[in-house]
Amino acid sequence: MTIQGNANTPRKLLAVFAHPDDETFICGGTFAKYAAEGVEMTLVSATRGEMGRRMGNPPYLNRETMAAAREQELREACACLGIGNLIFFDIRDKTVEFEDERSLEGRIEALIRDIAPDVVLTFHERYGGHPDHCAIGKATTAAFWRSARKGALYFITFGDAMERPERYGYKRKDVVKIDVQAYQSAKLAAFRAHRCQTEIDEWVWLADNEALSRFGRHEYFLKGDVQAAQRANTDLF
Amino acid sequence: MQLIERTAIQERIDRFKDQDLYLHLEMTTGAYASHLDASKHPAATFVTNAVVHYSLGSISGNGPYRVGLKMAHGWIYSEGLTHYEETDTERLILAGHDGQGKLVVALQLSREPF
Repeated sequence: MTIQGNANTPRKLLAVFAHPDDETFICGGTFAKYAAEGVEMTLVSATRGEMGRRMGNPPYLNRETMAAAREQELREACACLGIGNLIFFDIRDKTVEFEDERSLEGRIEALIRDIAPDVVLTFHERYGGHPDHCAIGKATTAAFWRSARKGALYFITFGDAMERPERYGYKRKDVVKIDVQAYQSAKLAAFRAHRCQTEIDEWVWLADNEALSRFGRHEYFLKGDVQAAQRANTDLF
Repeated sequence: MQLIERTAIQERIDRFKDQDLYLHLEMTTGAYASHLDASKHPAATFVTNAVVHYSLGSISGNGPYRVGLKMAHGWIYSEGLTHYEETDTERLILAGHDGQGKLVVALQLSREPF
């Protein structure tokens, strides 16, 4: 890509996810890495995660206070990860799949056209693992293909599942594997920013070196277009 | 009760939109949930004959199913639905039964009070 190496044109990334914490728990290290490299990043959280069941430990949140708390936590996590632009779609948690699909696609397509990102990240529409994830992934994928799609689309994946992509009908060449070892501290800070969601996970609150040892060295992404010309499989750009 | 057929339920959801309806929405773990397993937490809740009005609604999933109904100021949402009453054409009666056939969740809509 000609964008690389041109200091006057910062590289841009748009991530379209469903809930506060998706960005941190799934690929926080990658955001921190690209922030350090000067990439301009925008995160969409379709919902505020207000239907979550983790209410803090001991519980200090309720259904009516959860949305504001999780919004604030996400703002703090974005600061930890270097995500400069945060957008909420104001969709109620658990209902993304019941929203009007065309209008949701339209909102995302407008964002893609406006931002013109080099990289778009979202969930895989079948392997998202949660109905809201699959629904936002499906809408974002459709919006990406409808837009000018000058950039590249990737699906975020969980843990190291993509060490064996064959299980999901993909090949190793379809996987981008990002080394995030140098960015684990930022990722841990973001985990702790999502306090109400991580408080019941004791390991997050252990001494830093112990907590950091729980993170895998890599984060994995699936290429949204497996026909696209092969580029480095250690970098999204 | 029959296993849910998605297209049949979607037709009924569409037929009921944009009008006042009576809702019964229920979820229960059963009052004896902790009787044999103290780690289980018995809980139940229901709303019956609340008047609702939705403009957009659908069923999704591959079974158990989810239903979401969008209202002017909120949502009706239910997950874990498995069965419907096929003989009742005036009302929409959906339920979710666990592996033992016990009711866990129910979502019902009618033009007349239940």
